[in-house]
Amino acid sequence: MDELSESISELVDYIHRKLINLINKTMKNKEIKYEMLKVYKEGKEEWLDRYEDTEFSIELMCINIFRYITDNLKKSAMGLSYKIIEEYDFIEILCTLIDLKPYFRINTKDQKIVYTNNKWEILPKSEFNRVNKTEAQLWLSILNLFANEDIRKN
Amino acid sequence: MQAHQSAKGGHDEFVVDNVNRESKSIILLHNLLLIEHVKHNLFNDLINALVESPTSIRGNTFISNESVILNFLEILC
Repeated sequence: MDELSESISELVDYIHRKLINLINKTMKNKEIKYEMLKVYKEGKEEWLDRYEDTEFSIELMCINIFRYITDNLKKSAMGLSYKIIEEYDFIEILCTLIDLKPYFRINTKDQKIVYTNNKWEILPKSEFNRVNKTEAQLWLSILNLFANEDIRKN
Repeated sequence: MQAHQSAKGGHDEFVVDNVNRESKSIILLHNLLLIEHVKHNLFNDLINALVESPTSIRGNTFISNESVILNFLEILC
């Protein structure tokens, strides 16, 4: 992935677009209960549903990739940390995602469900207070951004 | 898609080595951005075309292509 350092700025732009989209959709669909055993309707709606599900998994993958980018921020080009903090304000975006928790939903039976390994699973009560894998990636990204010397200086 | 499967399975190091050695992750990134652009601009036309001539493999490829490339990049991380 080192050869990506020249194009990493474009990847950050892409991740920013996806995460903003995730925030917007989560705020919009906050009250909607999720149907776990979804039967896709026929025609256009089927493709739109499939598209929405795929987009959601893409957006969560972006969180993992962003954590990798923040891990290697020291090796990246000079302007990248400025872009992440000043231009896009990623700390605000990450905090909003931790607050909204898009990876948790309520299903039609009022059970709490969690998105792990590309599918929704019912969350047992014993794991309610446990930090989710995606949430851990968000916290680690924030930690990496705060721990970065360039960012602290500015 | 085969490269993604091999990298995901972790049993064929040749794929990951080759991508790293030949700097192919840049090509993957450019493909990713191109697919996003196509989806964004031609989405309604493509969905209408899929509804009119439903070929599930073509439709699924169109929808999941971006996800496959991004997951491949994630594995390379």
